[in-house]
Amino acid sequence: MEKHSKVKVAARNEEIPKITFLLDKIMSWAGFNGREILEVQLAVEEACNNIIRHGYRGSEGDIRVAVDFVAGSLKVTIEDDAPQFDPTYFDKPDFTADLEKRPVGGLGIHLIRSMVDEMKYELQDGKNRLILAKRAK
Amino acid sequence: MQIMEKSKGDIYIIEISGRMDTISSEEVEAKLDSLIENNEAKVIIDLAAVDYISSVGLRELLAALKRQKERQGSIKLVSLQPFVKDIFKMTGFDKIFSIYSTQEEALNRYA
Repeated sequence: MEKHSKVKVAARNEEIPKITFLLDKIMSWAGFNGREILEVQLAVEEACNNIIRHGYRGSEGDIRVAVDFVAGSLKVTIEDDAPQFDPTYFDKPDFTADLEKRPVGGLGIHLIRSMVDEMKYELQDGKNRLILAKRAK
Repeated sequence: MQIMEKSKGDIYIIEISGRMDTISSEEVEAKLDSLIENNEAKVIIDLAAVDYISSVGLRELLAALKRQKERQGSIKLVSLQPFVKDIFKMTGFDKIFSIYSTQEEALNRYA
């Protein structure tokens, strides 16, 4: 039992629901529970947010997402053409800092890492490629 | 996303339902901004019907809390659902916000 699907969206916030909808469809089909679907949707929303805000920085561009369910594992590949950015390079932010000193960045990347079983970055022909994996329990 | 509002005495309560994601959080931000501008010092945000929150939603809440504190006001959060509760723990937001199980509990704390 396997399934493959792809979606290409413009790098704009209002396009993100198209991706989360696709994840819901495939993950429900694959038997993931509601909680697991929310986790992957969150990881992917955070990744897209980073691409839109810090990658393209308001300029036009595409985000290409491939969703593959093979051998009990979901793989989400998120590709963009923004300048090179490796989110796996970031450490966990200091969450012990008090309110005023809290860093604004790093929160999204920490959430991505916490929501999936695997997070991998590749630079492929000058394109950023983030690969997230979640195993069905 | 839906936002319902009510007040009990000098306490302002907003009940959010839906997902607090990148898009819908803008609505929450606008609502919180107007409350703070109106000098509502005691605010309760009820998240009983929110099953999802992203970092954008968290940042909006944090920004509102910072502004409230500058004005000697406060924000109490109530009825966090399991996924949202875990996100708060994971990010340390559970230590920044005053969180209560029910509206009644938060109202009593304000009394």
